[in-house]
Amino acid sequence: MSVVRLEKIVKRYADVLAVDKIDLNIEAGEIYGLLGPNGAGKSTLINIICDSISKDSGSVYLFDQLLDKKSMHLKNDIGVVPQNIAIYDDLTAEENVHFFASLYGLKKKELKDRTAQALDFVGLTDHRKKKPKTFSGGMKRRLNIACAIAHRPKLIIMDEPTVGIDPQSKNHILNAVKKLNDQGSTVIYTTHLMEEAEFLCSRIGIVDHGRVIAEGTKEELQSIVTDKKQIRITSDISSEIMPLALEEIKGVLNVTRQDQYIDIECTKESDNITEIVLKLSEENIKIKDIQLKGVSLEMAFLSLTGRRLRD
Amino acid sequence: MTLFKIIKKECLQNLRDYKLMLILTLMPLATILGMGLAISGAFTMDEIDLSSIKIDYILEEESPYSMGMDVLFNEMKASEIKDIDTGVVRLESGDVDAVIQVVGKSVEIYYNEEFSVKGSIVEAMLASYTDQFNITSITGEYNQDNDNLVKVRYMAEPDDASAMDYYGVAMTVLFGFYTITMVLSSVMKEKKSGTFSRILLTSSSRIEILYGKTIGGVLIAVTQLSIIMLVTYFAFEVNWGNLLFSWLLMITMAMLVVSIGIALGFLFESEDKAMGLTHGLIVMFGLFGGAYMPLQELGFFGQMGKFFSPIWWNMNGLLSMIYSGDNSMLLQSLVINLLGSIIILSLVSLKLNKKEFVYG
Repeated sequence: MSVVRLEKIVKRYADVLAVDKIDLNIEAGEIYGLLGPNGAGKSTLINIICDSISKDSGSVYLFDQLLDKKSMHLKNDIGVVPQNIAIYDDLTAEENVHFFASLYGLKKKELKDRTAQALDFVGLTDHRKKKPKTFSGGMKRRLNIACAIAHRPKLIIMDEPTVGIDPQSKNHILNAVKKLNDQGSTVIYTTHLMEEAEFLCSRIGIVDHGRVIAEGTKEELQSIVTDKKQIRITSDISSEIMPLALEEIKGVLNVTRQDQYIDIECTKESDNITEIVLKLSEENIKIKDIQLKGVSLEMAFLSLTGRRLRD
Repeated sequence: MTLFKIIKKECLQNLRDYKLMLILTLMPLATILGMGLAISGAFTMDEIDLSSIKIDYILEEESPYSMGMDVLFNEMKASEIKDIDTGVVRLESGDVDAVIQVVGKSVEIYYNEEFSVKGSIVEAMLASYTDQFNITSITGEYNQDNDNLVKVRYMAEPDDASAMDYYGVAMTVLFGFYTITMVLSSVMKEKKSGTFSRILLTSSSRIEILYGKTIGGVLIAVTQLSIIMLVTYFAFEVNWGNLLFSWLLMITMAMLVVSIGIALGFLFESEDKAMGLTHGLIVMFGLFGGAYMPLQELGFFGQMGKFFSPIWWNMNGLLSMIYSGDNSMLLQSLVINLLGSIIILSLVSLKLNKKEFVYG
């Protein structure tokens, strides 16, 4: 089932084309990463999906239903974790979650139970009676998430939920995203941090200048920018060795040696590691380490957009 | 229902901001007490006996209206004079508190600066008489005794007004308008923290959100005003006239005040600018409402400006009801408050429906 389907979405702010005929399809069960530099159009796109702002043209389908004035109930199945922590400092953690969950139609016992479960999920049960102004940044981020998930939405949109927090809280949140996905929620995750996208996302869309310029799995994105891979072998060092024989192996394009490192460039689809290892054994070269180096997602992004992700 | 959830949340948040609640409740009480005691001299040592107000009057044309006035002035033991210059000289020398000139249906009142409160009371009585006359003059064709009706209505229940009475009402209304800052601050805080945008992401309608916030604010404002009214009524013995009618006017005033606060909150992006404008507005409303100085001091601008001051409308409604027993002005003020709130809230809901409030 398609959870989000965008068709030819256009949004313009005065002379700026924020979203330029974007088509997007996110299937149930995915963790879809939305990557792009500031001003690329990510937030506008999310606002359009959430019906927070109007679009100039195009259609939004949520759960295979057209999102219009008659289908506002569909918003009950969405949970949004905003980039800025949007909680009430003068309400307790429990009251915050309780209030936001109640706006999604939960009542009485169900509301109470779901509030408790959401707080437990983010590890704030012991702090439920405390006000967020006493919380650390990481705890506030976790409460921010709890407010978005208590009603168990089918689609969770997370906009850079780990900004400015300690590694412990960050790990907690990343694992929580995985867990939410395992429990059946589809996740749209925007981030500036490439390692987060690599760790979490089953598919990634790269947005730039209001367009999705590339989309696919991590491997698919890497293959867009290069058709090569690199193997680095660390040996026990023997500057005398010149393993020219490696170049005869199928798929090997180039071999270079520097100190204890032997760098072998191969075609991306080649499957020749075993042959390389055997050849080095024949030459009596002891192997200390083997690293398979593809093109990083960061490099792929740079190559596609001409900008670094944090620009 | 979303509406009740938002009302509950608003009340909870406001009640927890106990410092602001205390300031908005205790400040008016302290001011009323201070002003009531400090300025009691202006009220002839604590209280004004209406029959002690000295008035000169001139009736320049005879008409049913001026005849009625004549009866009213006789009851007030006012002295008729021949020309306005004589009256002004007597006013300047403090021999009289007010000079009234009636030409046809036009009435001009000259106050004595030092006794402006007495002048205000005379003005309220005359305004009340004029309103009443517009009604009784129609029935007068059938009932020649209508002037007696007027006379009995106005003079049968003379009342004493102390400084505490005047400032009890004036400061409650004035400080009631400072609730705008509380509401404005609440809206700004919601916008700034992103919680308002977050609420908009739910399936709740924007109207529900707007009215939830409004009703929550009104409940808090009415609670504060009720406390002030009850304390001034029982502890300071402030004359509120018909307490129920005064309270009803306060409810509609709270609605107007909260609506203004919400509108300013959504209109402005910067809290500093909005607060600056709000304080300026309240000062202007107070100035043209007669809360700081007599309106005649402001001349033509004062007379025109008062119509744009909701403080004046509310004060006028209350004073007319309390000192003249005239509920029509109170009703008028009540309707103006309600209409004002409805118009302002409608404009805010139009803005909200434009969907420019993005999350995050």
